[in-house]
Formats: sequence, C-alpha cells, structure tokens
Amino acid sequence: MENEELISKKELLELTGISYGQLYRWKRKGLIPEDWFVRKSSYTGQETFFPRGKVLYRIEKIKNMKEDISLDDLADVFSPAQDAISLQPDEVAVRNIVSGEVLKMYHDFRGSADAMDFNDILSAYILNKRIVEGDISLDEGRLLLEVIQESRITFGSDPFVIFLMRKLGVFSCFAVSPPGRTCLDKGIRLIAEINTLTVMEELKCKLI
Amino acid sequence: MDNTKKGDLKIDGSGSAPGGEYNSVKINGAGRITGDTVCQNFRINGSGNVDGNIEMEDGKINGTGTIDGNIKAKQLKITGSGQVRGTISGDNIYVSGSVTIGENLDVQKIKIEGSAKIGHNCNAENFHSDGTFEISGLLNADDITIKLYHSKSRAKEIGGGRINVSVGSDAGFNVLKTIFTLGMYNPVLEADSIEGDEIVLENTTAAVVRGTNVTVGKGCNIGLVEYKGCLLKTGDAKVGEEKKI
Repeated sequence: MENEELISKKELLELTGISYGQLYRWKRKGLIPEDWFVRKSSYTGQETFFPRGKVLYRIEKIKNMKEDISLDDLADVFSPAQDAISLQPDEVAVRNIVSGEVLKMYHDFRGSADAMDFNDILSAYILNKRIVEGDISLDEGRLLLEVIQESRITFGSDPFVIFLMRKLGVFSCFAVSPPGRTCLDKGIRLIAEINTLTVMEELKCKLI
Repeated sequence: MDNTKKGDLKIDGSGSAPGGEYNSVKINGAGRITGDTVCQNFRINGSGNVDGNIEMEDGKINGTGTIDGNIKAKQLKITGSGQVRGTISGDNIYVSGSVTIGENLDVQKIKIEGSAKIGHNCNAENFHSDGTFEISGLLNADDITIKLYHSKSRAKEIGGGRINVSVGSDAGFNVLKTIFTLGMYNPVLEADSIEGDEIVLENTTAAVVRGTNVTVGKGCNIGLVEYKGCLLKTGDAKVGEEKKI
C-alpha cells in the first residue's frame, strides 16, 4: 500500500460522480474495504485517501452492476467468503457456466455427478475457461484439477494463484499463496496465471 | 432453528446456568450464564451476566445486563442499563436506558432515547437519537436524525446520506429550566467532520462539514464548509471558511 498512488475522497467523488451518501453506503455494505480508507492529516485536520487504481476500478464495477442486483448480493461478490451455494450439474450447464463436456470430465474426476458446491463449480469453471481458450487439453485439465484440489488442502480458504506453463511442449502447473514471488527457467513458457480471488468474483457475478 | 423443542431457562433468585440453545431465557433475580447462548426470547429484569456471545430473536434488558461478548439480535430493547464488551449487530435496536458498547453497533435501525456510548463505529441504515451519544469512531448511516435535548452528544466522524441535527422542542420546559439553572443544559453536537448529501445542522460544532446541500443553523460553529449545491446560513451560525466545489 505504501507505494500506491492515492486519491483524495474529494477527487474520487468528483471523478466518479458519486455522492457522499453512496460512498458511505458502500462502505457500510463492505463494498469498499475498511483498509482502503487511508487517513492522513491535512490543514483541516484529517483527510481520507484511497488507493487510486483499486478504488476507481471497484467503483466502476459497482456502478456497472448495481442496476440489477441488490447491494447485499453485490457485497457478496466482493467478499472472499465461500458461497453457501449448491447447484445441480444440469443447471451449471444450462446457465452456461461450464460446458457439458468439461462438466462430464469434472464428474469423472471427482467420481460423482451429485449437486455441486461452490468449490466444485469454481474448479470446473476454471478448467472450462482454460479449455475454451484452447490453452490446455482435457487430459492436461486433470492435472490442473489435481493442483486446485491439493491447493485447497494446503492453503485452506486462503486465495491462491495458479500458474500454468509449458516446457518443450510438456504441460505443468503449480499454485502459490500470495504474497509470493516466482522465478522460472528461461525455457518455460507461461500460459496463464489464474488468481482465484478474481475468478471467484467473476463466478459469483454469474451465479447471482 | 430445527424442529426439536428447546427448553426454557429461568433464573428467579440468584443462580447460574450454562450457555447453549434455549427457547426463552429469563433472568429475574441475579443470574449468570456461562458460555455462548442462542435463544428466541431473552429478558433480563434483575441483573444478568452473560459470559460469552448471545444470539436472540427478541431481547429486552430492563434491569442491568452485562454481556462479556457480542450480541446478535433481531429486536433488542434496552430500557435498563446494558454493557456489551464486543459488538451489537442486528435489525432493530431501541435504547431508552443506557448502553455501553465496547466495539461496534451494526444494525438496520437504532433509536436512542436514553444514552449510548460506542467504543468504535456505529453503522446503521437509520439512526435516530432523542437522547445523548458518544461514538469514538464513525457514525455511518443513510438517514441520521439527531434531536438535541439537554446534554452534549459527540461522534468523531459522521457520514451518510441525509443528516439532520436540530434542537428538540422543549416539551418538558420546566424540567429543562431546572436543569438549565443547574448549569447542565448543553444541547450540542460535536464532531471532527460531517459528510453527507443533504445536511441540516443546529447547535453543532465541527471542524469540517462537506456535502451537496448544507444548511448551517443557529448555534453552529463550523471551521470549514465545502459544498457542491448550495449553502444556507441562518441565525447566528458561524462558519470560518466556505468553499463551493
């Protein structure tokens, strides 16, 4: 946070066109996290600043979404908490969250075709995206699922970042729980970097 | 709540009971509950202590209640005196007695007719005070109505949509006059900063007020007013500096 560019509250309201009432409402609902409110003393006492990039991006998102969903649902989207959601596989397919083929593979992997909880849907969603993008093959997807499963055991509910890579055409992947830095050998081609927090936000938007 | 019927807990003389799940909990004498408790109805008429967190649908503290943890309640009425070490969260809270909260108050609606002291922040959709309060952190509510009667209220910061501060009409004039002559009549609101969309103030002292439309009324002393729409000053309002943004 130290090196981030800050924006004052006044400038933020002016730039985004939101009012004090909205800002305070979003703060109450947890749409803007408490630790983004940075207090600094000025000649009038104290002024509040925000990490510029993060807050502008978040407000843009809230403004774009709030038309059709309630603030409480929206708060859920931004919270890292796991959703207490459970869906039948057909519903996941019908709602276009995961394609039928990937879904079938996911059932093979976990050995059941029962209702899917949030973690199941998330795993299948991550897999689906990579396969649709053409980054990896179905076989390679299995490896990705194993790493996701292992990561949940190791990191618990902490978010993590999955790195997909290829060396001499051979696929591999690993996960890191931030903050963590990585250093790779030159022969490795990084295919994708998947941040579970970002994917969760994305998925929650689709699930609402 | 599942379908198994839960028992009632009632302490009439003096006694203590373990926490757990109950249908109703009633302390008429002097009682202590040790451990986290979940119940439908909760009532303290005498003096009650809960050593743990308590969750209730409907609660009433008429005597003295000391909660060494957090309260979660759909409805809570404090007509006696309540002391909560942690946070009160819930829907509807009404205080006609006095309450001291160590951490936060997080509710939909709070009405204070007595006095409230909050260690950190107060978050509500609807905040209404006819009594006195002291909030060490931020008072954040969509709709804030503060009627000042006889003594000073204070919050470090106030923020929200609509903020309305006025001096309550003196229904009990004689009582007020008596207090006044004793030198205790001081219907004032103090805050470091007040920010909102529509702000109307009376008898308020603040370093900064920022808002869309701001009315600074009688008895106010504001260091700096920043406004976007219009600023209206009435009576003997004192404003050090004003800036239209």
